[in-house]
Amino acid sequence: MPSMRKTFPIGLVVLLLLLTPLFLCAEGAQEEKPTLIWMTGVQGGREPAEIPLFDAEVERLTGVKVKTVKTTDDYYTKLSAMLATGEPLDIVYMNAGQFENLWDQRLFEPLTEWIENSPVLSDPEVIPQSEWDRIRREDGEIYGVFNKFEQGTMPIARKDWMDKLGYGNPQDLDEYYQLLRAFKTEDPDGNGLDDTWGLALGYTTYDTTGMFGAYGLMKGFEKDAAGNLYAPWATEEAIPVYEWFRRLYKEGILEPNFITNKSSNFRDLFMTDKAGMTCYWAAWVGLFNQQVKAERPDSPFQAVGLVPPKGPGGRLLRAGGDGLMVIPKYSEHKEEAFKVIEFWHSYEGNVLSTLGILNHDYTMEGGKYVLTEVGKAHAMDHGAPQPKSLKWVNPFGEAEGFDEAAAIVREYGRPELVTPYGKIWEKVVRSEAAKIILGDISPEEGIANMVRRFKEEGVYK
Amino acid sequence: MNRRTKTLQRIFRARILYLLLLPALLYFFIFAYFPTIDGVRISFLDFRFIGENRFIGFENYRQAMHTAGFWQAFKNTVVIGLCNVILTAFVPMLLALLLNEVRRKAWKRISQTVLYMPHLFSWVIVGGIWIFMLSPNAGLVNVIRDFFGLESIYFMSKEAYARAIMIGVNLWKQAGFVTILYLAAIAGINPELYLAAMIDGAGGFKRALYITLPELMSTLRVVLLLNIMGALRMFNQIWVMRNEVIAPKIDVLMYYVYERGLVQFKIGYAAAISVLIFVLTLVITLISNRFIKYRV
Repeated sequence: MPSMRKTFPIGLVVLLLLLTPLFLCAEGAQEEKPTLIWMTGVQGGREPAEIPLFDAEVERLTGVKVKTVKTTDDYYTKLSAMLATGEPLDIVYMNAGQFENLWDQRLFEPLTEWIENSPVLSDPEVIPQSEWDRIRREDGEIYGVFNKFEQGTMPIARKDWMDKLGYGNPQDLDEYYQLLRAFKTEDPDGNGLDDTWGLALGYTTYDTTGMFGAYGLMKGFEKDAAGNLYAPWATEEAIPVYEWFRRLYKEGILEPNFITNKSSNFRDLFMTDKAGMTCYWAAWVGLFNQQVKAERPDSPFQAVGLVPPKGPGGRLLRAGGDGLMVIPKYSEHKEEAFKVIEFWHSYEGNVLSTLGILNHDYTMEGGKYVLTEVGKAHAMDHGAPQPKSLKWVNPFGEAEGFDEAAAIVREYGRPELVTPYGKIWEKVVRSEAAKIILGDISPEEGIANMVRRFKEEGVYK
Repeated sequence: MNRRTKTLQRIFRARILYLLLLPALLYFFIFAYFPTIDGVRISFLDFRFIGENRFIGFENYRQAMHTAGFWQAFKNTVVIGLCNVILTAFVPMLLALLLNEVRRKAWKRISQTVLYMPHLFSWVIVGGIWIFMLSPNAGLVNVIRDFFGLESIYFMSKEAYARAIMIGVNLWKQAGFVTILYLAAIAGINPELYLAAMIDGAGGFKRALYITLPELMSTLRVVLLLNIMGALRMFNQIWVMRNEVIAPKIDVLMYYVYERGLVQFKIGYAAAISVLIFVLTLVITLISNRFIKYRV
């Protein structure tokens, strides 16, 4: 008969192995109300501790239990992994580029009928019909719902420096050059040091559509008369703009780390009195003002969005690519998922997506919204700082400068054509543009390289 | 009693040990072997997130062989990988030999700590440090160049410097760790060998050449093997330090897999490249193991 010394450890290990799945099943069995999985990179709690509070607030306001899976770093890597492994996602946030990349997979549930029957989403005073038509696919169906008003990118400048140096709003590329040169050479911060740059950029050309727009050249790809794709920044019409940037770099007006700068780098340069202009999202006009005033209340800092330069092609800005909420076809809670998406564009949803969570980000006192210290730190951004709804009016008003900047984007902004080749465009155009701006190659050579590389990548036929 | 019965008896006698090994084996099977096998399966498919995955045979492999991007990534991997393997094996050996000659213990410890510290940093920090150090206006390298009257160079925008920068930064990060391995091996050398050599009139150089170096060969074998196994799997450094201008010279195979698989969602194609990397690593490791075992 086997001794206890030998039997006991074997028995213990076997028991543990057998019991583990039972514990897991028991945990699953306790679930009664379905919990929707909401995969997002922008919506929800601002920190990990706030995510469950956000989920609870959504449940309070909709009756639907959600669990947000929020990843801000490398969102699309995590999304790809979750899609590939068949994770049970019910609501997925993605940008228009990722939507295009996934389109061939036939992953998305058509939402047209639900949208048309929704009292919120079908209201043209919330979302105009033209916006729905813009994202309608070739089969006539709509597969995603907007997350927020995406505004656009534009030149953003130091208004206080412009006033101090006696410059008005520049109207064309020559006046832009004069202004940027002044930011570099005329000591706008008044410290007696040659420590300011005219223009701070990142990722080589992010996002200088406003400058190329003077020649009517949109970022990304367009379709020619025959329906073939071409890149406007890879045509001869773009040469004057490349030469303009080249001049800025050669004269030391363009901050020299424009190739390696990330968004945080050029934002910091702008906010810390090192650059007089940058090109970024219109919402950041308000955020720049808010953040600098919070850190340095005595600073004369004032950011303002500028009308883009006018040229032979008119004026043009890039309106933001749509961030969309989609429902995967394999979701087992499609109705509940759509209910949450619809809620996102209701008044209560707008409050949640901006101000945040009741009694955490804000309180109600005498019928008025009062931001808590936490709410102030979150800068009224819980995924849609500017809701898509045309009915929305922020009870605190918009951050200084945002309304004017948004008006400029609405007038001159146009969304770029979304294709599955966005990353290829970035790879080819940014690298050749950098060499042109540095003076390593001529604009003609750079453009020829771009065309050749697009052909090699199969973008150009 | 036949052989089979004897084997079964041996297994039964050690049954507790096998049972205790089971969780670890399960872990490796679920998280290492199964994904590898499934990756091979996916490489033969036109993989879809939902719906039917169509079997397409070797089409993904054929596409890779005919894509210029794959071959460019392969070339970058070979060049950068080979340099990393050689430099991070032999430069730390030299450093260890030099450090071994430092007599004052305090200086030795400080030097070891300073050498080892970069190994502790993540690639995000190391990449950020070196992008700043090489920046054209405020970077230390260009500040020194300016001091000597030389023109500033925007290193991170020049393809000509790209590979050298990646190799140099990798050496800076890894050298300290490998140096410690060599120093540990040197500490294990019988001091009487040095005594005997000194009596015979051997100077420091000859003692290093004829005593220290031969004793380091076993450590060198291990270091070379580890380097070779890791050479094809470079990713973190490239992801942090790349930009579109220098990308053609430094984008390696693992980054190519990431771009195709997780950005462009060409999962089947990316799986095929991954299988190729796995096979290459296996072949190179087996050949190197044989060569290093008998020649080094």
